[in-house]
Amino acid sequence: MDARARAEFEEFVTARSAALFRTAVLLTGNRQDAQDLVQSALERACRHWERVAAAEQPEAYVRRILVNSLKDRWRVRRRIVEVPFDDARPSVPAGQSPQRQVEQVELRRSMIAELLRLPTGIRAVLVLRYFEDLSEAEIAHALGCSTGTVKSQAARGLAKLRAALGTEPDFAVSASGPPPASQDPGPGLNPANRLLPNRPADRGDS
Amino acid sequence: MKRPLSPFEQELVYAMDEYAQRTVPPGFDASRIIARERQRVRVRISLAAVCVATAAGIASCVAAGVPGNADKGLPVVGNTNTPVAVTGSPTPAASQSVGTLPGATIAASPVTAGSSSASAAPGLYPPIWPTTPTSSPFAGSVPPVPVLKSINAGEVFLGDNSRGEYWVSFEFTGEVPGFKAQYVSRVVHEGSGTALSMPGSAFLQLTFSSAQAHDDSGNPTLNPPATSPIPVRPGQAVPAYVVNGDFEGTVTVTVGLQHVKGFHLSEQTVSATDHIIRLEINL
Repeated sequence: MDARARAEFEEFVTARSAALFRTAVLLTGNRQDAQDLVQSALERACRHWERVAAAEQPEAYVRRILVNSLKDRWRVRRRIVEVPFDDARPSVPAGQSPQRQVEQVELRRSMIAELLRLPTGIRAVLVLRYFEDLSEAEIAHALGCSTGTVKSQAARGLAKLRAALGTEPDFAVSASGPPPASQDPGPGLNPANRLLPNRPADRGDS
Repeated sequence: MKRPLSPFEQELVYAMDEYAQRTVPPGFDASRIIARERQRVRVRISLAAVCVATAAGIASCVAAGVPGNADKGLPVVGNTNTPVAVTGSPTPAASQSVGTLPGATIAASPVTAGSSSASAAPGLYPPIWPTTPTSSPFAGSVPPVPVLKSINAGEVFLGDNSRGEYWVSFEFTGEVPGFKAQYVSRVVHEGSGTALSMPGSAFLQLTFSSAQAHDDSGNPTLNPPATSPIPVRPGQAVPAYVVNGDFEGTVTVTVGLQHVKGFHLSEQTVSATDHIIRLEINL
């Protein structure tokens, strides 16, 4: 690795590791595994940095490594996923009844819990689709499968979530109100940000 | 063209965002990744050398054995000199290269100047240390009382991360104080006895005798003073440490750990007036 490649790699790690880590948190469901996953993905990226840097989108390349390492790891080590919430901070916007806020916190919590119970492949599709906001083609590239598979996996994943939560009727009622974040979008919850895969909020955050 | 999200999907987006944003990313260090990658390559090369040498040894053994006892399939006693010499030599070389790893990695950490531990045998670094209390008496004379100047913490990982250690170092000016280390069931402010809320589930308490963490005017010498827990790696193996006592010539520091692990203390002399007591903890 020459000096220029080294500088590039360092810049990449500084700029993108936080974002990769957040994806990894959703993929693994806990901080330690997420850290290990990103660390090993970055090590693999470092090993083949010339190839990564030559790719059109280095981040997409590293994300692919990340997802693949996840699959490898889970082949070896299957574990019961815990859903540790660091704190019970209700981040639902104000302006709703306390009971509604509690319901929403509970719903989101259960959603994550169910998400983490899904099979790795399906979970990866949902995370890339809804958290990373990738297109079906991009997800297919990251996972090394066809767009048809992505579509069917996403549909199956959503159906499983809905079934597991069993909240669809309730949800339909609650969803008739205004969408929660439209009132007071927190940082990172701004719908406009979702159009950018590389959200500026993540830059330099390491 | 992406289709608009259903309310359920929208809620899933918010749930994911919220969950992901809630966890603070650790700092990933590019230069450490590069260094580790280089080490991995080096270890690989030395392993390859061992394999090649072993293969060569076996080949020469077989070749030497052919004229004599080939049909019996036995090693040739009279000709073992060559193969043994060949297969034997790479082993010290390999263990030596593994043995040099800690030094190389530790050198990147901010505090450490010398070698970490004299007890670590080459190739077996770090050993599994006991969890039982350990102590060392104060051998000098006061005044002046040794002053705790700084506390640093870090971690060292080797190879594929399966080996390594966590470390906490205590830098003293003056002589090396006496010290005692043991696991305690709860953390209290020494003196007042009030309980302290400390992250972690195992608490390793270090008591430095003939030491202080304040200057003659009573100002704390540590920055931050650490009278309430200072996070090291929130949520991880060594979440925090705290100075829960500093009076009557005794400084008490408690390190919060996620699990009871073996530990080891060693002294290092930085200069005539500066000493470091290094606490090493098994992964």
